[in-house]
Amino acid sequence: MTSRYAFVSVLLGLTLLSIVLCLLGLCRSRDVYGRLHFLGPLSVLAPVLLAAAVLIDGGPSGEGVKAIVIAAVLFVYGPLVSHATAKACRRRREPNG
Amino acid sequence: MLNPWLWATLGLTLCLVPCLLIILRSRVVEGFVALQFASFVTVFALVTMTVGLRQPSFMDLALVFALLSAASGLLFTHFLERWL
Repeated sequence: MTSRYAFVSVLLGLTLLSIVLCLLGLCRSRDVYGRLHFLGPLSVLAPVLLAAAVLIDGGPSGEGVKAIVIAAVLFVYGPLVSHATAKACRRRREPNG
Repeated sequence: MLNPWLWATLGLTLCLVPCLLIILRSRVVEGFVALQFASFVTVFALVTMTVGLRQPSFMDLALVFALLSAASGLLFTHFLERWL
């Protein structure tokens, strides 16, 4: 097993771990405001880890560039939709806790 | 023998099951948050599947899905705010 293979495996493991932890938080939250918090790491941490794994595995190829673009899209869009959803919930007077 | 990318794809696909349960059992707004979660996870699964299967053309699918889920998510919030 080369060091690159091991490093990619670690990054994939960290990505999966962050997603599973966010999923646990999503399931355990009592209201919509709590659930919205768990979209944060999913749009910031996980795409960066995954893009890093793709770049290390394949080098600066077309796949790597697209992975970076995907990470950038999720990085910008994730907080945007969280904010818009929270605003919609306030308008609807969703219960807090 | 599966490579780490395909194991990651399998794990990400399994993460969609709790999202589906939340969507089916919760109210509209909470189901929408779970839907956004599921769309993020689907993008990641498509990326890992692309690298695992060594099919670079699948990455375009992941990119288009990410962009479309961004637009549709914002459109959904607009309807949630006013009409749903």
